Amino acid sequence: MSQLWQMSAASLVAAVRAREVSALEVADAHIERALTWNDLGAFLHLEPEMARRRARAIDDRLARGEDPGPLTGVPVALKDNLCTRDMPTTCGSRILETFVPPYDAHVVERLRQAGAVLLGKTNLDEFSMGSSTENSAFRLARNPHRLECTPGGSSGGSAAAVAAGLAPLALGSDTGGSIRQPAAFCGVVGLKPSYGLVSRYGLIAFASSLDQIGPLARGVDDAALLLEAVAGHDPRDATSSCRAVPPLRASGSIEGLRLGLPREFFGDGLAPEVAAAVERAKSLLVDQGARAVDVSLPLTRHAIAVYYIVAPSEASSNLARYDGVRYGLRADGGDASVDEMLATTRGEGFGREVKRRILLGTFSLSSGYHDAYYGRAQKVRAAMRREIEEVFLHVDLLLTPTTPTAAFGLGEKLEDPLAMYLSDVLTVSANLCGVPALSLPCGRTANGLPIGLQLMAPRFGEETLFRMARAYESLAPDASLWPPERAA
Amino acid sequence: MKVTVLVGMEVHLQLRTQSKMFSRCPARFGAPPNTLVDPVVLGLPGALPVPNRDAITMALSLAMALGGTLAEVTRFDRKNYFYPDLPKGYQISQYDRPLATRGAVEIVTREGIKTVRLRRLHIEEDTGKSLHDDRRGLSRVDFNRAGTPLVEIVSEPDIASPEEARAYLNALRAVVSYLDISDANMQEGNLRCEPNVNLHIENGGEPVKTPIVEIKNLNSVRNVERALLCEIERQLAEYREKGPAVAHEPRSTRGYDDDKDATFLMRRKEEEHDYRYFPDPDIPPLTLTEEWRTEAASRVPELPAKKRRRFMEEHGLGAYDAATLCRHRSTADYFEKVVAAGCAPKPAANWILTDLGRHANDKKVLVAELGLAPAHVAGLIGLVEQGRVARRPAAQQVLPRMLETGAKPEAIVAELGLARIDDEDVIREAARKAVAAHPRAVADYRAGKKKAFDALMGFVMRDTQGKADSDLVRSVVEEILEES
Repeated sequence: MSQLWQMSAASLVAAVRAREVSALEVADAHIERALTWNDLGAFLHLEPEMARRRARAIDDRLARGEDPGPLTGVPVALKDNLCTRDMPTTCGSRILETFVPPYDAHVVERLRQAGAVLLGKTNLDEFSMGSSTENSAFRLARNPHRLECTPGGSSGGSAAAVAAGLAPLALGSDTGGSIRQPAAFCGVVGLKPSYGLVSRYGLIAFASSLDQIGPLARGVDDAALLLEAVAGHDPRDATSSCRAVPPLRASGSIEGLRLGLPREFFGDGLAPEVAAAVERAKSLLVDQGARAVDVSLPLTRHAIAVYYIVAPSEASSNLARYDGVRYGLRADGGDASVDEMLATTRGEGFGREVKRRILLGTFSLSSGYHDAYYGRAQKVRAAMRREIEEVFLHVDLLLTPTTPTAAFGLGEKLEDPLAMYLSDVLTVSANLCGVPALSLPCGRTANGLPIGLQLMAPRFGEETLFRMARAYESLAPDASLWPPERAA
Repeated sequence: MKVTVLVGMEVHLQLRTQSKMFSRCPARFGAPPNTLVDPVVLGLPGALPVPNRDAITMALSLAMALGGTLAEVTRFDRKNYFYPDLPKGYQISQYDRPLATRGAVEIVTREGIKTVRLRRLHIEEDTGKSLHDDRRGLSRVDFNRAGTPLVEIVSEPDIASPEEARAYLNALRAVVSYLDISDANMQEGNLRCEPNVNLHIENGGEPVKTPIVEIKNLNSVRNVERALLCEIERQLAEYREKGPAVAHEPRSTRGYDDDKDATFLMRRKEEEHDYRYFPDPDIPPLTLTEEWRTEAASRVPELPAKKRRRFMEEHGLGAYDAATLCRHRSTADYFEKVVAAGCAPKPAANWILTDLGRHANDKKVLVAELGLAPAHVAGLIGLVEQGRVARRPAAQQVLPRMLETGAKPEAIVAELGLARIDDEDVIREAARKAVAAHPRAVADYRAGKKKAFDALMGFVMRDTQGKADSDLVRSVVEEILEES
């Protein structure tokens, strides 16, 4: 038998249910692993004692003959922008450094009900704003495949944790690629679900019309297992869809499925190694009966511009609540006026990137500029939705690279925000259009860094998305990529 | 110089819902501070707003009652500004797709009936309340009120005087009371009103428009009237001082100081916030379906304006009396019950608006809440109309006793011996006594002093404890004076 931390979530559930191994042993194996890999910076709060207590409770329930649920005994790591009533929830920001929410996010409730063992909270760019986790106010996160590279972001901690075996499953959130880009950089599977499939109740908002919570895992079935556990209608989120979640783990044929290759996603700036890996993946799928179709999404060239108006606009409003009045940081020096207290609190509490985006968004919404920026961006966004719907009349899925390049070096783009923003160029369209998109590993670069393949489906087309991803995974057994082991 | 007053009204009305506008947290007045809160109300990270369907249905019924044009699809927007009592740093309101546009409020003043056009009606959430402790230099915030559903009703500047402003508020409150959707009490703050006012002054040449002033801090209908009066005076004085140049002054917001009975400058237009409105991405647009409209329509009863017209036509009442009766649905219903119990409409209206109304005011209740059976009131009025008891003892002695004991008026009249004296012999006896005892008055009467006759009548009435039939007294006294 392989090491416990190497096992899939599905096989861990089976083993714990069969009492071949206890939930406590599973938790211990991952806690030990997390402590060994502490310098990855994957976790902001690791909660070993709490995790052990939860694991023992699962074992007790099994001993009483109960079924704790579909994630029985599986350790899960949570991005630190998901509210947990028993752990800090900082969003990677000084302004929430001491904040422990009085309630659980919907997905956290669901995980507890499913018998999962929550390990702790993972590192992220402050308020999910970033593509390298370097905007975390607390820790630098590293790519387990190459420590001097970024794990991506903003869900960099979740991706690194899963890739290095610190947790078999993790939840992240994706506003412009924040699950898929780090999944691609770390060589794991990551899904941004259709907008409305997973309740955002308790997800600390970055850009409400784009944010979705989604799974990260080392295999397609594990990602589906986690998604099934958290998806479905929640009356506390008015944007949550009422439709039933289809079974996502059933296998099926890909014979005759049409794969669209939007030419705008294969343009300038795409690294040759990435282009070649995606081309190989396409050929493998075509060999299995899928049909490749060239398509075009001309409005994609506006995607980054639209995204960097819509997301900061919403963020400027979403982040207005951090004012030092009710919770979190308050910097007032004792006898400041309310306005001074508010300004000092926000000045000290927010990092540079967050301030930059608040300024961008405030500007885009100001009277006199609203129509030229926010108003026009909304119009282009609506046109992009129509354009992709039109393309999905002719193809079942879109196949693209997830990122133009493999993981970049730490510090490489930190001083160049525009270059950092452009690393989202292939992922933001799915958020702007509300469609699901999944990234899965499709090989490595010559220097050993993972490459990500992105599949996109029409809204609520997750079933087809998982079917295609599973087909690819079974064709390319080397798709799962463990990072190099380190000396003990 | 001709001066036209233009007043527009912005009214905020708290809806009486079980829960708040965007969460299931209970909503009510007067709970201990910060007990009616939850993650949504406090704007905790990750909390999301879900619109309260009941509140929207109530607002829809109000929009229908006011004859507004309902939106097909309505939308919530964020109004962004920082204030400690605003938990999220934005207020959820409605901007360019309000629930309804247009509509009207019909008002009745002593001058007659008039229509005030409405511009729009929309839904928003209330803020918390800041409480300042100046002595200790502390500010505290109570979030109980935060998130309470509000309807904002904006009128066109069709109101031409402070009296019309009062009539407007009364008419609007009447509609709200009929729909039973709000307590609409200005003292408790569940109806708040911000009038905006300016003057068009014609003094030869082009008319001069004074800058529009919005007035805040008004906590009673009376203060709305007083504030408008002194603001109109202030604008006139400013015009006299600055002349036509006053038109170039910026718009401003002024507060009203109750003690000084004066308005004071709060801020000018250019100091106002840029609210950066945009559609709230947490709340999808709402389609006001046919079923939803039907449900809201079923909540709309016969409205005060229609009831008033019916009272005028069916019962022959004047506009002002009919409007006053119709201000509260229960009062109007009570009137109809008294009429149904066999009372003539005009005396019924008169009694309800005067004697019953006074008792109700004293007890701070509505007429229908006095606990008087409509049949008993009809009985009392009947006794007076039939001449079996005189008006004054009926109002001053029988009615209070009815309120105390709930007994039938006939029984009380008998018990107190108030039955009217129409025995001519008894009256003649009293009249002879009066004439004999007051020779001076008799002499004055003969000298042509009409008042002396009234005095003599008064002596007779007093002698009979007011129970004597006054017509009979008159003819008997005349007769005796002729004789002697």
